[in-house]
Amino acid sequence: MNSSTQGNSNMHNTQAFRVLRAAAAFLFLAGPSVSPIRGADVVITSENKGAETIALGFVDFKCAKGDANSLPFTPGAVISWDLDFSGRFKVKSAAQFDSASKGAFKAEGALAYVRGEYTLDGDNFTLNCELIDIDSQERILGKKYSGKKADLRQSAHKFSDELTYQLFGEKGIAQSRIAYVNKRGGNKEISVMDYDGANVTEITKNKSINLMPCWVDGKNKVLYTSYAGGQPQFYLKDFESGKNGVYFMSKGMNTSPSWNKMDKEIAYASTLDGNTELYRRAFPDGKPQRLTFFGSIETSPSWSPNGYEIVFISDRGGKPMVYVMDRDGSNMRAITHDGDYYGSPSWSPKGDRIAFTAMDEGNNMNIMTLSPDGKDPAKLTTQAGSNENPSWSPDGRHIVFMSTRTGSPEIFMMNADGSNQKRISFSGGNYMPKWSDY
Amino acid sequence: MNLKHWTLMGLGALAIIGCSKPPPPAPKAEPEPPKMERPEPPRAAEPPKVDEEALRRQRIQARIAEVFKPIYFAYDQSTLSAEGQSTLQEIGKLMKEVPEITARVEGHSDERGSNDYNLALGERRAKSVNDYLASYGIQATRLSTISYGEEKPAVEGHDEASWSKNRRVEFTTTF
Repeated sequence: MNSSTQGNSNMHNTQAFRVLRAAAAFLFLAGPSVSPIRGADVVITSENKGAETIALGFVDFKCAKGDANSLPFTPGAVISWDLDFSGRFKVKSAAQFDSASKGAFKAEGALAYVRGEYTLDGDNFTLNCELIDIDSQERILGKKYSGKKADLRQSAHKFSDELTYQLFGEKGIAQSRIAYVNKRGGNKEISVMDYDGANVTEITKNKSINLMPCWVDGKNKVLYTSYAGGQPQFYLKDFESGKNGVYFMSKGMNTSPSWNKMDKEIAYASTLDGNTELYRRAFPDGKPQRLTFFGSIETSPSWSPNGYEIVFISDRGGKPMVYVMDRDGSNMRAITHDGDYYGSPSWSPKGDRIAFTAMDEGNNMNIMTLSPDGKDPAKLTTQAGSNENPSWSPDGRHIVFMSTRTGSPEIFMMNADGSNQKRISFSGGNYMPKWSDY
Repeated sequence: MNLKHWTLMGLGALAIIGCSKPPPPAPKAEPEPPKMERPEPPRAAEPPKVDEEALRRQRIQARIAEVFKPIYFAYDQSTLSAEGQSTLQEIGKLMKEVPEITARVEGHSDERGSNDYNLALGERRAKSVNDYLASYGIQATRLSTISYGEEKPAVEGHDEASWSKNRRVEFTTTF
């Protein structure tokens, strides 16, 4: 990344910052089960179940130099989208800060507002973002970014993450990415995009079938299954070296990789020994260790965030059900017991929920979550069409998935409780999304 | 993709060698000229022999196209139906007759359910066909399996009529 941050002038000792920070810390610690409390200075609203928000004013960013129309976006709109999507902020926008917008911000309960300006000069940009105390007009937080124009969008996302970190003490997801499968010219290729749907990059162009992308080693690599060499085998795209090719070959087919970032290893499904069974293997090099021996279909592994357990699909009981086992294959137990067909389990990075798909009477899949002990089911999608392949945001607050509700398969996102469902791809034939690490 | 897809897949070898020409000629007319030229043995006998081999190949390719039909399956099943078994017996018979034929057994599923599970289901279907042919006496070296799961439908469609054509095993043969 070429952009740099300068002139960091945080003023943590202002009254407004202390109040905002206290409000955020309260939300963070209290969680959704505590009912919202309204104090004189602290405003907490509860728009969605389990998603309390802090109100913020937002003033359109000004282009101080250069041609704003030379960009397909404005940095302000990028930041505003991030803050709104995060579910942490309730954003009230205005064209400028004046007595009218001040009143509107305060009516929403905002104590501060975001403003900024940017310059465009040839290939270069500067971006200046600020959080301002509505009453005192003090600057609570200020960040300056500069670099090549191609990185301006990324710098805007950086500021969004900075706000989230400063106010909530948690990492934001605005710089995360989505890997997915894209039907191109009758083939199935891997693409990657920013989490807001921008910056689509084609990872494969081999005119074959490429499936099941899986982020490995943070955002540095994508592992996927490709038929480019005939049999479905693992390929690896390394964004640092630029290399893209066979990761390893073995007998049979290798599919459904899942990354364990605690121990740097993958779990996957393979027909190495004949039947589709689960294996794990140290990354980048290691011997495959077989975990299942039932002769039924075992597939779709997903690691628990602590690396101790794996959730997966098995049809050993006759129907595909969700099972959990320890990392060595011991202590297996089903966590779904009724229903006909379950698929694609994905363990939340917070550890508290498992998302998966369940088939309904109309042969469509819908996304559900369950606690790892099989209790407290929640159905997140009920729209027409099939909703498949759930994958969690790195902070566990959102889920990306594929839905056919608009006709063709497209990538959608929602909050972890199913609220705020948003379409983020529009080109048609997009599926199997996987959310990267931070 | 449409109904023709499986035909193209199944006829792999024939599509390349045979399809550009008209359908295999009736075997009556051709053999006669060689008979006429019998009296002079060495030189003249050579070209007709090549023709005979070409004819044999054409005949076998036509038989391959006829016999290597897709095998269809019930929803979420890999068990062979009676019809599937009789198709496989025909295939086994031809493979025994013509030892040069090798077959790639390709398992597919319909679009319902999850992609991961469907890949495994396609593999299980391919294996079930592979095992049947093996028990019929076809050597393992002449067979290979692959699964495409739901990723290569024969028919694009979202109803039982389409699904039933997509739950299948197809063959790509070499000869």
